[in-house]
Amino acid sequence: MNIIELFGPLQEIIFFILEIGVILGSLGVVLLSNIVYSAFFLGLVFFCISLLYFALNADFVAAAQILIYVGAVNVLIVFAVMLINKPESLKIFPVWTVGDKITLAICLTSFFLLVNIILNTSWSNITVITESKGFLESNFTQNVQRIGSLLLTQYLLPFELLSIVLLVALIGAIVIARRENLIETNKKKVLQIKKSPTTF
Amino acid sequence: MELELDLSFFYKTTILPECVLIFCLISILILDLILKIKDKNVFFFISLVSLLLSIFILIFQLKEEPVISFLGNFQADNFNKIFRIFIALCSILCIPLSIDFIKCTKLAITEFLIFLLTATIGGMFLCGANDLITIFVSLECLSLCSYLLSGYTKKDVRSNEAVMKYLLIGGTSSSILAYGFSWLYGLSGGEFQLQKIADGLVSTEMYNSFGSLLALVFIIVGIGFKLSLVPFHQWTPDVYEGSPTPVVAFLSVASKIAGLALLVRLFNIVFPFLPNQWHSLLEISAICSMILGNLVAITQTSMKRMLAYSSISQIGYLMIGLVTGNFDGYTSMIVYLLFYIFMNLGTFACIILFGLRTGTDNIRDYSGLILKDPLLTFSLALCLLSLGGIPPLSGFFGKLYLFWCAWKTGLYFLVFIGLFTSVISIYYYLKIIKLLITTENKEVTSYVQSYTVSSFSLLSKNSIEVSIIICVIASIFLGIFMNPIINILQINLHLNTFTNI
Repeated sequence: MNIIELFGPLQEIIFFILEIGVILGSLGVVLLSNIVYSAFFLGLVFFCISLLYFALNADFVAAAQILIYVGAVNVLIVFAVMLINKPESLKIFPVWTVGDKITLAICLTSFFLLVNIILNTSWSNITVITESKGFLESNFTQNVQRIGSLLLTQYLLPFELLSIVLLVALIGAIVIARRENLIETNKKKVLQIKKSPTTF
Repeated sequence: MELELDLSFFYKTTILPECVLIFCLISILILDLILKIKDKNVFFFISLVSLLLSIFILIFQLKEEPVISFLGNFQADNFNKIFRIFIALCSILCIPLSIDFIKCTKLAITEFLIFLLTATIGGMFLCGANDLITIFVSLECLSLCSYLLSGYTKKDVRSNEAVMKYLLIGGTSSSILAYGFSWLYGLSGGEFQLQKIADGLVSTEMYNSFGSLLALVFIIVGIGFKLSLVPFHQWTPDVYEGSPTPVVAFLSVASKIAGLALLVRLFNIVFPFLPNQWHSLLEISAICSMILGNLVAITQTSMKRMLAYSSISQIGYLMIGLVTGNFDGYTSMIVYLLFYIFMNLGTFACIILFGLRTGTDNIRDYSGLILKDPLLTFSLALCLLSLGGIPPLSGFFGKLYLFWCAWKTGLYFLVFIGLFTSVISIYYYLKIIKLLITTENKEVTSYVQSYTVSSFSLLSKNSIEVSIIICVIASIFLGIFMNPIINILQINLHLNTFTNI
């Protein structure tokens, strides 16, 4: 079951490499001026996150992450970026306004506050309790089986609600993409046909 | 299988009102696909009937004991049943407003109704959601439909701008909320259900740590964006100005009701150990909302922007009831919410009617409307006065009860700010009313000159006028019957778990 937990120090090294990949990738997404590079760096971030799920023994979630985010979302973003065809801006370091400095200060303080609180919280007390509880209900050995049974028992309501959300998202996408002037052009054609006999 | 028998026992009829709406939604979709119905009013009647049916079911369910169904995913007690009734009431009042608007702008009506109904379903599920995943999914259901609705007029550039801002800020706030939820999940030792999170926080001895305070702050920020409380309100005026007006009317009421229900339940169930912290945080944001909303509203020139700031200040007043935190406080909040639905929707209905007949929403263009349509002027003036809180109207009684409950608990500063800002709000509402009825200079703007009045006979009223009449009557006379309303609410809320503190 726990494949990767056997190699304790190795897991830490893998985790470290993946974290560096995520951080560098997301910095690249934000800082690079060429938008195509940003899109590819986003793909790297998604890929590293899915590998992170593998390291945490969540193989199904990792596969879903690769399929959906890398396979669908990121490819779509790259397509959209290539269709835009906007000239590159030459400014590498844009001018800093007062608002940018205030935002930077707020973000830095909240970041250090978060780090401080995370380090001060004694997480070891909590993890013990969850592990002992996890062994009791492990009837199913595989992740997929467990996810399936949980979706149809404990999380039935949000699962069914998500189907409605997806239905509405589908309808919404059609409404946004549909051409509104379809009916009007038909009317114009009818008018033209009616007008044409009078000209003769 | 035994499993199925167990589940069918747990379902009972707790989500029957929502199921009625879902059935209506799917039937509208299929009817529109299969039959080429020319008269789209059929869908309008189907949705109204199903909303009325779900309200009746909820009213009959008020006598039942509070239950937690779906293995802890959904809680049905009287508190959230009342909020679910309010949300369904909002959509009943909003659908007639949108029918004529959609006809005039020549957009598709079926999709509009589907989005509106799904937003209602999402809001109703949000009121009763009892674990973190259900809360998040139903919140996304509500906000996804709100984005789609506010971008519904695709050719309008302002509508496009509004929906982009709304989408980006809504996404940011959702992610902040999800981060707060992840803190709760971690600190409670991997629990999802709200009651179990509270137990888990006690058993891991984390209930008083900085971590749970951080989770509290993140959740307030996340929900504050949805409620447009003051530090997180910047998106509100732009979105209100750009979106189609019936959508704004729905958003300004329904999302606030759902957000308030979520805020009250989440904080009372999960954070009973930190009452001082969340009360003081909400008190600060309530004071800021009241002051800033009312002060900025004075300077606005667009009617919709003015109402956006006015709705920011109204959420501040509603927060007073939440900060009071006892049984009377919650009752007063619910009473004021009921009045607010009618006052706000009445005002928006008048603006929609004026906007449809003239095509403008500038405050300046309203001058001298009384010469053309005295009835509309009268309704708009009454709704605005009720929002401001002039004595014989229901808004006054609602505010009075709210302030009285807060005064009894000792929140003198909050009551003082509330009274002071109410006076400011009366000033800018009266300014509009003066503009409406002023006839001194005889200079009627070109917009009002082009205004065409429909016939006065009762039979040929369009749907907007019907809903204006309902809202105006409610916002005049509901205040007089406030005592019975309070009694009914208190009898029903006594069964509840957390309001009896």
